[in-house]
Amino acid sequence: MIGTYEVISVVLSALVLLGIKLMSSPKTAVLGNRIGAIAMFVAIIVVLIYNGIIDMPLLWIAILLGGVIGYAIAKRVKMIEMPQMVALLNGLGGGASALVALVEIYEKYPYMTTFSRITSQLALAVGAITLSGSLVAAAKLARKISQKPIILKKHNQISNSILLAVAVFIILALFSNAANSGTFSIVTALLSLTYGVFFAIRVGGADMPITISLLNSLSGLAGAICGFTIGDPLLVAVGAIVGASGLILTQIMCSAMNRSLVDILKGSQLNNSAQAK
Amino acid sequence: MKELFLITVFVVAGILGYKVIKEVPSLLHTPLMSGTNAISGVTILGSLVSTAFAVSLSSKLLGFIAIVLAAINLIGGFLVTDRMLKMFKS
Repeated sequence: MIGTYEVISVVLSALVLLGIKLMSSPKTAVLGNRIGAIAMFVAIIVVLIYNGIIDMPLLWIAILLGGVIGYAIAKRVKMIEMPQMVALLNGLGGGASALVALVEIYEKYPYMTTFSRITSQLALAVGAITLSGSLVAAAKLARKISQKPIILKKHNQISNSILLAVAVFIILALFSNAANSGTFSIVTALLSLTYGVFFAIRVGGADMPITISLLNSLSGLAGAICGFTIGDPLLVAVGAIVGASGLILTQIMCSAMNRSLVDILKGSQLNNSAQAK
Repeated sequence: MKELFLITVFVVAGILGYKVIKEVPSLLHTPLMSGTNAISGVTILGSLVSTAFAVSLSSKLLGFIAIVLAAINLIGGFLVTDRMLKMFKS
């Protein structure tokens, strides 16, 4: 159970923790970010070597393509557009987790343990919610959607019903054959995407950074659940660290702005002056 | 057994992640969020493994997209954070 890979995972997870710790203090923040980046780079190489897949051109082309796109948009984005940029990037990470879950479901469902089946469905749902929620958040910050909270009639009932439907389809998929599970998974993904929209659309523009922080925590969680499905302790550990530290940062931001998270998610305004125009 | 091990890893890492930040000056809220967001691109590890071992062409294609998205998240995220932090210094 505890082999070389697990030891390396512990070291890399510790580096990620150190990076996050350093990032929370002004003097060491730049260093902290770089330590995080190096830890991730090493993690990629280690996973490629450990699984014997380091010589697959397809993987390198994908990494390179993503890297070039990431580099280009990071260099071009204006400082004032940073919050929506972070939201967009976060959404892509969530989308990646959802896609990994889909691939696992398509490829391995008949042979999966119940544990892997549950976690793959959860990763799909959480990843999809993160994707659509973050995209709505980014669009709101970029003023492509009104920054005012958009609250539909019976908003709560609708979102809760969608969430319930997600749970039902996850359970259905658990007990069905490969063909049906594929169909159910698509329905789960679509419902989760819809839920993400309902989730983010009613948050006001001024409260959006806190919502993005929460979505950031969710994307970490989605990664960790993917790690359960794949059976990779390193992915589980780093995902959990990001998920938990994202949650605490969300709390810190809430108290700094003197807002309660529940109020923010309900789209209720503190007072009229706080409302974004 | 493997499952129990992974759940333990999840719980321990979660507790450590929860404890790692105590106070953050509000100036650093956005960069910290951006930095941890970049790290959440860690899901690339899952994308790489599942794409490499995928058999069908459609799975490989989905996996390829997953790697690209995660790589954008990772590299874009770290660079954006670096830019934000440099701005504070000047």
